[in-house]
Order: sequence, then structure tokens, then C-alpha cells
Amino acid sequence: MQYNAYLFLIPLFPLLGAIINGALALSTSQFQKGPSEKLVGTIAVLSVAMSFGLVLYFAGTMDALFKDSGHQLFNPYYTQTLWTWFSAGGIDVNFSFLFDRLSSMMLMFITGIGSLIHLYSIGYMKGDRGFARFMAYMNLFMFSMIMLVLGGNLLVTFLGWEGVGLCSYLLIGFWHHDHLNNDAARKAFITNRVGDLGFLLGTFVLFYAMYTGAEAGVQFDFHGISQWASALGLGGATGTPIPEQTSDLICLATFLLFFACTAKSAQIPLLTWLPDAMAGPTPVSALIHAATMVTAGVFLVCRMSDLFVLSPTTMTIITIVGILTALYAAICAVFQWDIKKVLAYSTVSQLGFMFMAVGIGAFDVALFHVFTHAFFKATLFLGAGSIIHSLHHEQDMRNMGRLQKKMPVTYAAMFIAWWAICGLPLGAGFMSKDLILERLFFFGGDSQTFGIVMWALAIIAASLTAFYMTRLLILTFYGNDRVDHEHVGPVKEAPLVMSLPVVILGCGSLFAGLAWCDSVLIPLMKLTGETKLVDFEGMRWLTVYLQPSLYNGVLASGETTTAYAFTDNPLSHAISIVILGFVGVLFAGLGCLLAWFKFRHGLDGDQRKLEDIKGFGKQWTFVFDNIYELIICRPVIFCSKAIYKFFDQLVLGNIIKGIGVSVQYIGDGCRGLQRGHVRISMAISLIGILVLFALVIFGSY
Amino acid sequence: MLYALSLSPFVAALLMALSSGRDTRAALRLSFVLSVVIAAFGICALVQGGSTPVHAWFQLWGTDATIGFGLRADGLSAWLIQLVTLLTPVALLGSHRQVSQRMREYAVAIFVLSGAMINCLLVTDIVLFYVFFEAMLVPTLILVAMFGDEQRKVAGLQFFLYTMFGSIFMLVAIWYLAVHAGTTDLSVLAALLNEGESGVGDNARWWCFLAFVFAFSVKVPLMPLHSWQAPIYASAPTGAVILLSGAMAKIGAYGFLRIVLPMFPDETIASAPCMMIISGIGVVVGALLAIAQTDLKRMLAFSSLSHLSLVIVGIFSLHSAALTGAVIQMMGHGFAIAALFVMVGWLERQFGHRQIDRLGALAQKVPVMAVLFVMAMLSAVAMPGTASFVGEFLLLFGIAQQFPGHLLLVAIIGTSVILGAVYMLRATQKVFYGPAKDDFSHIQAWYKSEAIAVVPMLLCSFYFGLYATPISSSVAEMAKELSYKSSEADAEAEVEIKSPKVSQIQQGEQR
Repeated sequence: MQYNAYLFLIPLFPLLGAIINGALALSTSQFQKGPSEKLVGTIAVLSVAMSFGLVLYFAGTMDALFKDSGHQLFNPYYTQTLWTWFSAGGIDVNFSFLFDRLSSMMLMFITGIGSLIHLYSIGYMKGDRGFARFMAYMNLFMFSMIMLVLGGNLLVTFLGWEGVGLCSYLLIGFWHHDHLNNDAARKAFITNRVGDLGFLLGTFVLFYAMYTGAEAGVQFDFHGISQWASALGLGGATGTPIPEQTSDLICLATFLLFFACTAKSAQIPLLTWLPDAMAGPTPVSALIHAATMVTAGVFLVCRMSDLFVLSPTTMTIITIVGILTALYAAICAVFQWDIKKVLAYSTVSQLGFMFMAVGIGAFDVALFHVFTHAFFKATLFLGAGSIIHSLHHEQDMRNMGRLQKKMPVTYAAMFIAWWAICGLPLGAGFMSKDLILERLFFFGGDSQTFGIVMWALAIIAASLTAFYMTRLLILTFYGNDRVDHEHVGPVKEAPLVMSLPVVILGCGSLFAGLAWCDSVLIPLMKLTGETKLVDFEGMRWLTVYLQPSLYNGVLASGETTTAYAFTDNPLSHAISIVILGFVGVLFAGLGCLLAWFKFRHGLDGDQRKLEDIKGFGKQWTFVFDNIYELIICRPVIFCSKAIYKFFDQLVLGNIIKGIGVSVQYIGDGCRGLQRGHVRISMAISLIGILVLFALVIFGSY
Repeated sequence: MLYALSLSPFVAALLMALSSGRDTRAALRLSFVLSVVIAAFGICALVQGGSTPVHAWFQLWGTDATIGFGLRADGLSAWLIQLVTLLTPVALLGSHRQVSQRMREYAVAIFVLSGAMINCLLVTDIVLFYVFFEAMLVPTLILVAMFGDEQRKVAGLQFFLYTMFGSIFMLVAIWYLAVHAGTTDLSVLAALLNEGESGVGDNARWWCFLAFVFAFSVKVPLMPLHSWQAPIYASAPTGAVILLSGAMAKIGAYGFLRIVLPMFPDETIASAPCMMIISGIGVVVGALLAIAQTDLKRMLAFSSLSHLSLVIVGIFSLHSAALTGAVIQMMGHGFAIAALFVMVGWLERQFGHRQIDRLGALAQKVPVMAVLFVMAMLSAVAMPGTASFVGEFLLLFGIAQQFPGHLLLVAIIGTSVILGAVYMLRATQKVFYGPAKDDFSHIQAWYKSEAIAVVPMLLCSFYFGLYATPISSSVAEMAKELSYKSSEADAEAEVEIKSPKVSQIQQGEQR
């Protein structure tokens, strides 16, 4: 059921915050000192926090509506249509919002974690001359991200989609005096633009597929799309197969939309921008390049899950891209020395895990991982930010070490996050990542080969994750002290305004896994004979909550449509699930131990110099950059120069010149006739025109 | 009201000519007020719309056709007139520093230029259309000759000869049509030609079609007839460039929509693939050429080439969404490019050059302008929320819907969106960010009149970018009339997708 609500208020507050802070930044731009940081910071944090409050309020009332009805299949959601954006040639685009279970869950952690990161930024950016500008950009980013998630149709989502790209560009290039930052910013924007083109083309194809022959009245918004797609899916299951043309079109459309996702979520082939994006201030990396923006791709696929499941080809591609990215990025992360780059590649790798889950139709699992990942990765980034801040912008892990005593709070939070991301038992990452692994293992029904191969690769990626994260933890917090104390002075713990968000997020990464823990806990309880404590619904809160908004393979009639149907883990699987869990932990532990034995003593002087980022590590890491440089950047620049020099200047220019010169010669030749007499030449041209007209008029009779 | 709109620029020019030439500030103020009044007339005309009765004027010699003076502001022309009247004050403000002492003469020329454009868009008679179409050249040339840079002679002459040469054939075609059809009224002529009662043979129709296409292609311009564009954009004073790129180029596209499509539908359909390919090449090559530029104004010239070629591709796709998008894109591009040229003009005035590589870190000195420039840049690269986005979206959308089998071509044309980001971002970053290259302590950080000129353009761009319904609904009828659905597409439409309604309802309930 559809209800109206003033949803525009949610994005409004960050937008106002952005405008006010932007105005403050601009109006004081001519002075030495910026506007009061307290004022700006308060506005920035409050505007996001108010959105968070609104999201909670709307989610609460939505839930109340659901509970009041007392009906299992009753699905309340909010919409709001502000105005008609444009309508032409059969496409009507409304400026509309959609607030359902999926968007509420996304918005909750986006605005929630977002406000914490805003709070953190107050400390991190303290004293920077561009403080107000930074906060304005951050608020603008929150606005765009909310638009992306809240959009009621593809176009409004696209507004946010490009908006987050823009803000990412602005924030990566925030310290714009260094042209390296600018290059990184531009690279991010342009790479995202490549994906955006895919988004647009996907929209076109989808529209064409929906409106050639479909009966009138199908709305071109998310709701209409999923209705249309699920009707097709049901038809396919009950004996009216989808016309071949339509299914081809759907395949193409979903592929193009996924291509857009690879840019935004930094998957192969468009992943190169994310590691470079670490040039921005660290809160940006935490907010944009870890917790929120990069998950937009996963969100989009989930938003249109009914459509994506109609194309098994695209789904397979998504899985394969996901697994390859997860592996590739994990290997890259192993070779990084820059603490932020490790985390960047780790993000790419984790996004690969999410896409794996999406590709096998486990949308709720993917979103669960999005949810937990947002917590622990934000913690890691903010913790890294605290370290960088305390070490005066030192990012190289070779110049860190033995910080656990000096920064105990940061250390504690990061340790929890490390526990979570490695997938060690009962951490948040264990819950979500093992669920993905489990789903991969059981994917495929009769022929499980594909699923098991995927599972095996994924578990390698998972143990690599454990390896590089342990390496990061040891190199920063344990081992020998390699900090350049002459430069840095005594290392101090980050101020409260920074450590508070880190601690809250750390606690979050401890407990986020509880949102869906039945698959792990129940079998364990079964094994131990404990049955009384089992609150089944409560333990799988997240998936129950998301069910109405996602494709779940089971239609109202109880029929399953395609292969992407997961029934709940029957408890008879309990043993194998527990075994899978153990295998997962085993591999993770293996990774941790390997890293421990390799790095526990820290690095000695020789190693620090020898293991510079060069040779194999670098080549391997940046191979995509090299390929793009070779096959895209250089040819484009070459073409552009060649066309300009050769075609435009040489050929066209000379043709024009030739005409000019020949006219001049003719003129010179005829000069004898005219002798420069204006009157005669006027007369000649008049006669000429008359003759021309006469020819036209009489020639046709 | 339409008469007032039609006459007001010339009256304004007259008033300016009579005013004192010595006090430049007074001249600027007077001209600005007058241009705002004209813009107000323009808005009234847009709201009221409609047309005036046609007054028979005189019989064209040697033909049965009577030239009639009638004005019309429908969805298509009213919005473009809006653009012209809005750009006139911008053009005046944008280069008043550059023209300094001769503000009066400058304003006279600008008013005459905008008067010619407004009338060109208003008149219902093809001969009058031609007269005003050509009349635009004279004030432009005067502007370039008086206020242009050192290269102005060559550029102006090239521009003049090129466009003159382009429209000579149109003149012949008009004459030919007038002789045979016996009328010069646009709509009557179109009706006669469509019903085949014009007495114009098939071959002759093709020749006339080509003559019109050639004239308008030079004006837009399309590849490879664009050689006049970059030099004149580079040499002309800012105000003239604003009107040239913001409005005059659009009159070429207007010609396609007003004359070519309604009068020669069969020829249009037959030549559409060819035209789309030619202008499609223009889209991509224009963007590539823009990347190769080091001169800001030349870069913007080639970016205009790319964007307007896209408009022509959309027009020839003959899909109603693309036709609507064409109008919106013309508006959006007008706003964005005018704002950019104002600021580039200011830069040129301050530094004496426009070389991208020699500028840098200006954001420190002129932060407000940096923000405005970034916003204008975003409008130019079709960021969602700006009018250009709606335009480009509808254009690409229409092309894709009309030719679903040629998605690859749409993708190739669409790369201009990426390339656009490449050159615009590079220019913005090099000019406003990065390390400082030039000493800019001497430049004035005072640019109030530039800001007054730029802000309304950006507001318009964002307003129509978020709420394009006014434009899209008023041009919808025109778009529907001109659009064409190929029989192939009709056949495809008949392939029905059987989707059982019952299941949909069930699904709806479940959700």
C-alpha cells in the first residue's frame, strides 16, 4: 500500500546545510580567517542528524502501519511526487520519492554513519582554511546520496547518482593546490561518467523493452518496473514464456545498468579511480569511498532485483565480476604501504563480495554485507584518519608501528573492526561474509559446480583479506616503533570529537552482525542442545525487514519463479553450515597467522627501503591504469590532436584558403574590367543577381 | 504585444543612438534597462503566445506571391525568443569593460542584432525570415570589426563570406518556391508542399531541400562547415559571442525545425540517416577537437559545435522526445555557454590572453567566480539538475527509441558526454585550481556586473533543469506534428508482451 508523506524533508536538511555553509564559506573567502568552525560544524552535523531523525520517524510510522494491519503480506511504503520533471514523447518523469523497506534501511545507515563522520570531520579538519567549504561539500554529498536512495524513478536516482560523483570529485580535489589531487578527482569523475553513460543507455533500453507492446499504464518508476518484471517472471514460470526480444532487451538493459554499477562501486573494469580517490581528506574516504557512495551500485541492483533476476546471463556476469574483483583487489591490497590505499583496495574487494551475493540472487545477504561493511570500514578509515592526524599526515605504514599504547582508544576500535573484517567468529563480518560464502556454496541447485568453484575462490579472497588486514594492524599498532619522532613529536590520542565517532562505529561493528545471525547461531545452539533462547524472527530481523522490497523468489501465489530462490536454511543443513563456518574461520585464521609470522617483528631498516612500491607489486597493482593509458587515454588525445592538426587546420583550413586565394586571383584577373570603379562593379553584381533570378523564373517555364 | 516585441529592439537601438555617447556608465545603464524591458516583452509574448493577423505588404516581383507581415509566437519560437531576450542584457553586461568608451555604439549594434534575431524567430513569411536571417550578419560584423581582437579582420571576413555563401542558395530556393507555389507564408507553403499542390517537381524539391539544409548547416554549424566558427568566437567581443553562440546558432536549428521538417518531410525522412551520421560525427569530433584546444574561447567554440550537432542529430531522429529535447537543449546550452563566455571574457580582459595552460589557482583570488564557473561548467557537461541534462537526456532517449537496433551508435554519440567532462574539467581545474602560474596580484577582484550577468543564467539553467515541464509541454504539440514513427517501429509495437493482469494485481497487493 502506498501512503503519502513529506519525504522531501529528508534531503532538504542537508541541502540547506550545504547552501548555508557554502554561503558562509564564500562570504568569508576574502578574509584571512574563515567563519566560526563551531557554527559551521554544528550546522553540518545537525542537518544530517535531523535527516537521520526523520528517517527513523518515517521508518517507525511505516512499521506501525505494518503492525496495525496485522497482515503478513501487507506492505506499506511512502511516496511523494513533487512535480512533473518533464514529459515528452511518451516518457513522463516525475520528481518523486520512494521510501520503502530498502530505502529506509539504506538511509538509516547512510544518515546515521554520515552524521558520525560529519562529527569526526570537525576534529579532523580543524584549522583548515577551507573548513566551511569542506562541510558544505560534505552536506551536498549527503543530499545527493539521499536523493540516490530515495529516488522514486531511475531519473531521480540518476540525479543523486551523478551528484555523488560530483561531490566525490569536489572532495577528492579538496586540497586543490596540488595538481595530483586534481588529477585524481578528475579521474574519479570521468570514470564515473563512463558508467553514467551505461546508466543512461540502460534506461533507454529498459524503457524500450517496457513500452513496445506492453499495455498502457505501466509506470516508468521503480515500482512500475518491478511490477512489470515480476509479472514477466511469473509468466515465465507458469508457462507463458517471455518473448525472446524482450528477454534479450532485458539482458542488455541489466548489463548496461550493471556497467554503471561497476563505475560507482569500483568493480572490474572501472575500479582504478577508487585507490586514487584516497587523495581526499580521510573523512571523505570513510564517508564516500567506504560506507556510502560505493555501495550505490549494490543498491541499484537490489532496487531493481525483480528485473535483474530475469536475466541469468547478467547475473552470472555480476557474480564473476564480483569474484574477480574481490580477488584482484585483495592481492593488490597486500602490496600497499599507504594505509589508506590498503583500505581502499579492501573496500573494492569487499564490494566484490557484495556483488557475488547479488549475482546469485541473494540480495538481502548483499545488503547485509553492505550494512556491516559500512560500520567496520568506516571504523577502519576513521581510525586510520586518527592515526594520520596524530602523525601529521603520515600515511606510510613503514613509518608507523607500536602505536597501541599511544592511541589506545583508536587501537581498541580498530581492533574490533579488524576482528569484524577478517571474519573471525561472531564479528559482524563473520555473520555477513560467511552468509555470502554459504549462499555461494549452496547455489545452483542440481549442478553445484559453479557455486562451489565460486565459493572456493571467495574463500581465498577472504583469507587474503585476513592477511592484509592483519598486516595493516601489525604494521601500525605492533612491531617496532618506526615513527619519525623528530618530525612528529610525541604521538597523542585523537581528540574526543574524533574518537567518539570511532568508538560508536566500533561498537556498531561489534553488534551490526546481530541484525541477521540465525544461520550461524541457531545451528550452533542446535548442536549444543540449546533451544529455548531461539527467537527465530528476531535473529533474522534484517532479511524479514527487507523481504517486501526485494526479489525473494517466492511470489504471492507461493510459486517460485526462477533459479534464484532460496528457501530458508533447513536445519537439516545445520551440520554442513557449521562446517562451512569453520572452514571460513579456518582460512581467515590462516591468513591472520601468516601475516603474524611475517610481520610480527615489524620492519627493520633494510626491509623498509627494499620493499618500496616498485617492480612487481606496483605493476600488478596498477595494471588497469596502464591498460587504460595505452588503449584509451593516449589514442583519444592522439586522435584529438591529429584531427585538429590534420583535418581541421590542414585540410579544411587549406580548402578555405584555397577558395579564398582563387577568388582573389579571379578578382585580380577581372580587375581590368572593373578598374576599381564602384559603380561598375555594383552594376555587374546587380546584373548577375537579376540574371540568376531570371534563370530561376523563366528557366522553369 | 508581439508588435511591441518585434519593434522594441530597434526602438531601443534608436534611443541608444540618440543618447549621449560620452557618459559610458549612463549608456550602460540605459541599455541595460532597455534590454530588461525587451526581456519583459519577451516574457509577455511567451505567456500570451498567439499570433497576429497577416498584413499583405507587397507582391514579390515576378511571382504571384504576396509578402505578408505577420508575427507568431508558438511553443517553438517563443522559447527561443526568450533565450534571445534573456541573453541581450547578458551580452551588454558581459563586455562593457571591453568596449569601454564606445558603449553606445556597442549597445546599438547589440540591439539591432537581437532585433534581427527576434524578428527572424517571429515572422511567418519566408522572405522576411530570410531578410532577418541575413540582417543578423551586419551588426555582428560591425561588432567584430569595431571591438574584436587583432585577428578580427580575417575572422570577420571568413564568417561573413561563409554564411553569405551558405544562404545564397537558400535565397534561390525561396525564390523558386515563391514563383511556383505562389505564396511565401510559411504554413501555407508547408501545407501546399505536403499536399503536392505546390507545382514543385520532385527533383526541384530535393534541390530546395538541400539549399535550405546547406544554409542552416552553415549557421549551426555542422561538420565540416564549421571553419568560420572558432576564429570568430575567438576574435569577437564577449557580448557578440554570447549572442552568436547562445542564440544565433540556434536560429540555424530553428530553421530546421520551422522550415526543413514541415516543408520537406519526405526528403527529411529519406536523408535522415545521412544527416544523422554527418552531425553524429560532428558530435564526437567536435568534442575531440575541444580537447585539443589550449585557447578557452576556441575550446568553447568546439564544445558548442559538439552540443549543437547533437541537437541536429536529435532533430533528424524525428522522435518527439528528441525534438522536445532539442528545444530544451538549445535553451540549456544557451544559458551555460553564455555564462561561460561572460567569465572567459572577464579572464581575457584581466590577463590579456585566454591560454588554459598559462592560468592557474584563480580560485584564491576570485572564489565567487570559481564557484560560478564550476556551476556553469556543470551546466555545460549536462549534470542532472541543469537544463542541458534534460535536453541531452531527451535527445539521446529519442534517438535510442527511434533506432533501437543501433544502440551502439547512440553509445558512440553518448561518448561526447564523457569527452565533454574531460575538456571542461581540465579547463576548470587548470584555470581555477592547481598551482599558480601567472602573477595575478594586479587583477581586479571586482566583477559585480559579470556576476549579475551570470547568476540569472545559472538560475534559469537550474530552474528548467529541475522543472522542464513548461518547455516540454509547450513544444509537445510541435514535436508531435514533426515526429515520425517509421513503419518498422509500428510493426514492432504490435508485438505484444503478454503479461497477465491478474498476476500484476497479486504482485501489487503483496508489495
